Amino acid sequence: MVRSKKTILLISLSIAILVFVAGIMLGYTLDNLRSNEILKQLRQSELNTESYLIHEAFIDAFGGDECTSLALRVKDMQSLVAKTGLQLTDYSDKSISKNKDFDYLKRKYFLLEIKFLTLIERLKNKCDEKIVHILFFYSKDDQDSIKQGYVLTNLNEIYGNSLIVLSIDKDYLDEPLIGVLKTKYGITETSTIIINGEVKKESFTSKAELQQIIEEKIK
Amino acid sequence: MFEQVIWVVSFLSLFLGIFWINVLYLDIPERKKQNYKPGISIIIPAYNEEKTLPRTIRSISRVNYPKEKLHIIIVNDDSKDKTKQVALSLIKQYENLNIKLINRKKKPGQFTKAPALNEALQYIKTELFACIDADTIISPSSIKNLLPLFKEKETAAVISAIKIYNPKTIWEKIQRLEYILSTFIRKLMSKIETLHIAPGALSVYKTEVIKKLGGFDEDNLTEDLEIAMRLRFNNYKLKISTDSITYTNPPRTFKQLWDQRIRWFRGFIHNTKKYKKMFMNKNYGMMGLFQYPLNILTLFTVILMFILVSYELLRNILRFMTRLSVLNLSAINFNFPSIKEIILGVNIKIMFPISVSLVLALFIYYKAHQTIGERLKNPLALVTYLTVYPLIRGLHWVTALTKEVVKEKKKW
Repeated sequence: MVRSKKTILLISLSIAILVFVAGIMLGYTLDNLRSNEILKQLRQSELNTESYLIHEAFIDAFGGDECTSLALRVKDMQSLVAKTGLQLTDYSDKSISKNKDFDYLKRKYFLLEIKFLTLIERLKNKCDEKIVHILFFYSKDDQDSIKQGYVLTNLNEIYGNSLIVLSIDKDYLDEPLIGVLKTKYGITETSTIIINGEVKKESFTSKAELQQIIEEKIK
Repeated sequence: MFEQVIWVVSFLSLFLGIFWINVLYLDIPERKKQNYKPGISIIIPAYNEEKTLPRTIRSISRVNYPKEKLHIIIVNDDSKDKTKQVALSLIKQYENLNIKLINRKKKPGQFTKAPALNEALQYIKTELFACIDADTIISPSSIKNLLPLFKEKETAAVISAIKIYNPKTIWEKIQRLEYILSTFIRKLMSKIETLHIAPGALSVYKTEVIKKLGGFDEDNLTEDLEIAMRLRFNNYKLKISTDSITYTNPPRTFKQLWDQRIRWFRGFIHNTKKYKKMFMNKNYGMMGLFQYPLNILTLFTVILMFILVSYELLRNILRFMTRLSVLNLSAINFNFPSIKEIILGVNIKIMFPISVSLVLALFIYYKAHQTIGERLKNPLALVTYLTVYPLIRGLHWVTALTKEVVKEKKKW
């Protein structure tokens, strides 16, 4: 009788371990799928950026109506960059095995954001496009940053292609360029937003206040 | 930390769930004493039970057992209503039953039914005696079906399967599920000889053993649990007969349920401390090496999960309130993700252990219903039991533990 109880305990333990190993394997598989999805999007964005630059160079060399087509391209890239950013944050939080890979992807994404920012500036300078871009410096788990994130996501939905928000983790030390940006804009507070490279707002800025600024800029 | 704890708890639950399911299929023939019909005394402690006592006596009158071998002792435990008068009229009404009435006065500070049980115990001369609550309804074959399990000399008590009588409110329906599960688990515990509870609804004891051990603990909130653990401590066994059905009247309201559960859980904590010598003691076999540690682990796990889940729930509510405060109605987002986004967005760290626990819980409830012979019904009660009720029960445990730690005065 005692031996069969021990056997049952061992069998139960073995089955439980097998089920949990299956769960961990499922987690690994999901992590692989997620990192592949982000990589695919980043590659798409890189290709779009390269294509944009070549398009611009072509127009410079051979002439043509650059502003309309370039503006359309920026708008297409904008939605992909925003989507990639949200998914990257979400997937890296949920990852069980690919933390290093997601760190690498975060760095790639950040560089993509800055490249995208430079494209927006070039477009605005060349074509006088009424686009408002906001650099949002945030800290994870900071209440003001969380609230500001909600507001900016909502404003993105309202203003669509007229508003581009680029989110930067202020405490991300792996990319030296972040330090450069922090120095340039004098970033010390968490939840700081820089609007069109000129207007700086520290701590939480309400939706109403931001809407007023954005409306003025796109008039 | 929440994710790590939930994985550990889920793993333990899965391991134990699989273990109990294996025990269910373990082929252990039950040793039964055939044609065993000793004299039995039935003690019914009654405090303000004028309304339910007649139904209890009526159910005893219908029991399939030689009436000359049944001796009923109603203990009017200082009732403030008409319990005494009702008992006297029942004695007249059921002349064919051997019913004795003891009227006792509670001493100052006495708050449990153990003194009533002990007073009745003095009058008992039969080989066995049963304790039943004054609102219990025993089925006709309940006594007959549990007697054969007294085959082994070490078996000092046999308990019956308890069901809820006519559940109406959501709290009664939830308790119906609880009793189905607890009867199922007790049956499994009985198989591996770790059963350590003798519920007051109907338990039958060997008179000589209980008298030798000194009767019931009069200072204990749960004298039924205490006597069962004392029997185990003295190396006696308990068995359950799932063919012996007893119906009990559960608390109907949240407040009544709350009070009852605080008393039960305080009793559990107190008695677990009292008999801590059984912990990891190989002299007590599976009781000492498996069940006792499991009871303690379960207590800590329930409390820890309650704290963590409450914290996560509050955090998420706060997050939503923050979103609402900055966005007003725009906070409510009607953008539905695609199937690909849903799959890639699954948080395996939380969803896997929760899913495993849920599937296991549903399977065990299904097997419990099947084994006890109950139909699966009241889906709303089941959903509430699996989702909301664990939080309430966690709060019961935290409250009970706090009251025991601060040594709050015991009350019924």
